[in-house]
Amino acid sequence: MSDGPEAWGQLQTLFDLIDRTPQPDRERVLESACTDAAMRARVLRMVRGANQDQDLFAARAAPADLGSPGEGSPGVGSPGLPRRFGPYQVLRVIGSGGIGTVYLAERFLGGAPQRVAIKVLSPHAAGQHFVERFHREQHILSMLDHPNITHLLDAGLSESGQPYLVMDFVEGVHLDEYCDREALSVEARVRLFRQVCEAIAHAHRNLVVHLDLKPSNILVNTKGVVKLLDFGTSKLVQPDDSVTTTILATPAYASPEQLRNEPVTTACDIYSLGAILFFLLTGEVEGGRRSAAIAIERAFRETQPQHLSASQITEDTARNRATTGPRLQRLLRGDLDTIVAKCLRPQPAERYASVDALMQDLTRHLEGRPILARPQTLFYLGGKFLRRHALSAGFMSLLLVALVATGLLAGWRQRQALHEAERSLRMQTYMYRLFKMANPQYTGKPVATVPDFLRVGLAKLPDYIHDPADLRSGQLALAESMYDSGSLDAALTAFAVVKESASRAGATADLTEAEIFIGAIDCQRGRVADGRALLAAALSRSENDAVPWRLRVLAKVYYAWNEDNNGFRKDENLILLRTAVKEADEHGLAQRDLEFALYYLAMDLQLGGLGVDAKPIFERLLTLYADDPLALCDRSAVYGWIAWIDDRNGDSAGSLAIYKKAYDGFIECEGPDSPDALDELPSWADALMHLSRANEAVQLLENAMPTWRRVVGGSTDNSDMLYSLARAYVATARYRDAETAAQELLVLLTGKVSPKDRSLGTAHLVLAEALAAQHRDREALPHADAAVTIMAPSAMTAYAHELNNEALSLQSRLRAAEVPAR
Amino acid sequence: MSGSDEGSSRETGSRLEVTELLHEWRAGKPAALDRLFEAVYPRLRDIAGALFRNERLENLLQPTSVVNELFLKLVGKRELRFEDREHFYSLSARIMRRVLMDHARDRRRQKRDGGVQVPLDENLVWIDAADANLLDLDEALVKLDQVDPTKCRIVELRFFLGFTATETAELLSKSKATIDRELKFVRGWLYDQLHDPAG
Repeated sequence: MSDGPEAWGQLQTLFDLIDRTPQPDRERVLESACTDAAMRARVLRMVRGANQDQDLFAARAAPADLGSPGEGSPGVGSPGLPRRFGPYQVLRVIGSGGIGTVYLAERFLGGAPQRVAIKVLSPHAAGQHFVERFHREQHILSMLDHPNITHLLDAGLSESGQPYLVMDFVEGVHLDEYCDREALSVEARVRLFRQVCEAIAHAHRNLVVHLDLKPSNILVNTKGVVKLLDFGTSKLVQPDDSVTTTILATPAYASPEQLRNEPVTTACDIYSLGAILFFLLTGEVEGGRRSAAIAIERAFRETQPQHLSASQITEDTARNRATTGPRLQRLLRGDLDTIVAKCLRPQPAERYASVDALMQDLTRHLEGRPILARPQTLFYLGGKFLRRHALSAGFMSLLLVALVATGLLAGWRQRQALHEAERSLRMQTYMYRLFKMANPQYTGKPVATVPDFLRVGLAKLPDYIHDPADLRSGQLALAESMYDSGSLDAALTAFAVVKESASRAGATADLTEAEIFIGAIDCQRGRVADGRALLAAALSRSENDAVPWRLRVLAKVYYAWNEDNNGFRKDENLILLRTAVKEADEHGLAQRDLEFALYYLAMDLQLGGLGVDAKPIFERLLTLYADDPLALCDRSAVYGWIAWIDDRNGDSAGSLAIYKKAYDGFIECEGPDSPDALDELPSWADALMHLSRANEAVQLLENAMPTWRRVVGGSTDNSDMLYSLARAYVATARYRDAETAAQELLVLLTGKVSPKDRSLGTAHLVLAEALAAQHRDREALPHADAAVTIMAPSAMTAYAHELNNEALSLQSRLRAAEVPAR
Repeated sequence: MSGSDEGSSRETGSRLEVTELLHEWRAGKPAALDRLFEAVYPRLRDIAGALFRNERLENLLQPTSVVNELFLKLVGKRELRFEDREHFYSLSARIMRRVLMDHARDRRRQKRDGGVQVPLDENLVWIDAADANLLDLDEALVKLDQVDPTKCRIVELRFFLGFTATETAELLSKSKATIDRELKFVRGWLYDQLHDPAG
């Protein structure tokens, strides 16, 4: 029969019509709708076929076509039961699935009947591999002896050579059915579920992973005892090994790694346990019922688990749990949600480390004690970051977990009724540590993903943290990490969002915090007036009682330091910084906040020529850093400053060893190409020159030049290397070399720094000196002039004044020499 | 612990090319489909072949292993773009069908009788059938594809890939009621085709 488009369309219309029509009216309706008798017959056949329950082929397949292997026991639905297996008399089929059929059988032991379950391979599964799998199950079951696992009683071969296993017959119903039938409360379900955990914990202790846990593999007997069935998919794992998976597990309960066909571990069972608990509590499969294909897609996408509390709770579901819908919703929020979600994490490493840990949290929950899941996640991640030096792509997912954990932590603390400031502080500290490790400065290896990673983290944050205040805390933490790692523009955007939200909510503390950073970024981006105004506003707002001490300290430090840094030095700055340190001390702020205030106080003193006062503060910082393994870089920077102060205060000899500490420390924390280590060299060379050891200074700098060219190269960062080198050449009378270095320095700086930048002035000065020393006064004079013009307005330190005088005297000498030449 | 090595070693260098082919196919170049088959088919043949030799149960032929293989080959761990999903899954279903049918043909050549039944996904009761039946089904589907390709795609997704009706509807941007109705029609039509060879 040909099906042109018209006929096909008609066929479909008629089919739909007749399918909707009640049986007795079909022929009549059809006749009035269609004149073609063949078509009518066809439609009737199709409607009949479509409404048949049985197999599409059933009606025409003759028994001979079924391809029975012709021996052994027939499968389910076949006319004859096998009569016996060894001494066991078969009574009936209990069920069939996968590759086997299970029979109820009995034997007489001393006159008393013993009922057993006998598992036999299905005929179609009689291949060698299936037999091996069968033997593996036998082996595994024989290793396990636990009240919640069915016992293996016997094993053998049937008369036709088929292997069979004899197990305890469990008279009972599936776990989920039992829970509903008994209308068990949420608490009772959790208690019952713990028995499942006990069984799996026992298996794991014996290095057995089950790999196909699901409600239909778990029975509850008439005494309410859980019995785990079917270790047919289970495997033995070596403690330091993982085995590859099969994709035999039931997709709804299988872990993502199983679905991705990756090696399996005990973490797979923990995932399945979570999925079962999800089902028992909500009556729904996590993520909804879905096909294997979609389940695999989710596994590849590493989709985050659905929350218990996001389930559609029907009245039936609630009634089966002896409660009402709203009450059930409430019960499923909080701890249970956290516990189940921790089992269902897409990454195995983020789930409970063991079934014991899971059971411990379930017990804590039942006893009303706080569960460990959340803080443990934090510690775990913290530890993980400490161990991992190179951070990579996997970092992203860890961030997301960190954010979830942070959000959850916030919620948890809220319930503990802790002060919001402290909560935010905890989050801050945690995030700071996390991102400190992520910072390229820390490992010395550029981690390209960090800015991206922060951006994604920021974008995802609202998905995890819903409370506006908590959200702002998280956004601030992330934005500050962006700021710390130099992503100023991205940080600015993020701070602006917080500023707006905080301003709308009247959240003074968050507003202050956002303003501080926006102000600081504005200043760094050259919008000095805007930045100063914001920082001044933040400073005055920070005196509000609602602002926690940490922020008051932060506001003072950022305000004062930015004023200093932008050339607005006043006594007020020093007073603010001293107050900040005092407040940090008195109000027991976190060590890193105290360190922060101390560092800028010392810097302010040192810049103001009060190096003698700065030194004890730097030394106090050293004692604080001593406890912190992450502070190696910071410690090295402080050593650098102490050496500099010592050098400036006449102890150049003593400063050499300290410079070496600073240099070595940076190499240790940032690697052999450390730019910060290179930064120490010009001052170190200065100290050598002060000791009239200019030859050693030249050597020190010349040795480092290849690294400098490679690492810093055409950038103006650490252009002091060239400056110092030129000066050291002058001091060793290598004027040609000095000229070359100074020329290179000028080329490097010109056009890249402001024409008024002091470094440009000193570059002109050293070039003038090199030329003058070669008696090329005419060439030298314009450089001496330029040096004086640029350097005169900017001299903050005594040393700077010294250099200015040097420039002035060179200029006047050259000018004086020029007059007679005319 | 969890071996990411395995995943990466199985990501072949041809994946990008394969993704491009997927786009070409989407753009209506039928030749791309054949080349896609070539790219992903050999390994699936191995999986299927091993099954029928009863060698490794781990590779039991079922939609999961096909989709898994395709994911590794076509998508890797990257996100499947929304507009590619329909084509990805349609292709997977088509490949699943082809693998199955090729095996049914092979075995019919090798064995005089129908051989053992293929243990398929639980959802696939329709085609848990002997080889001869499978080949008839294939023939019917070839016909269906000519008359109504969308319906053929629905059948493939639903019964070779085990998609639920809801998922099929979602993928093809149709309502579930439409998918249910179309499936019922196809079921009737197939029944008629298979029971009335003259039809």
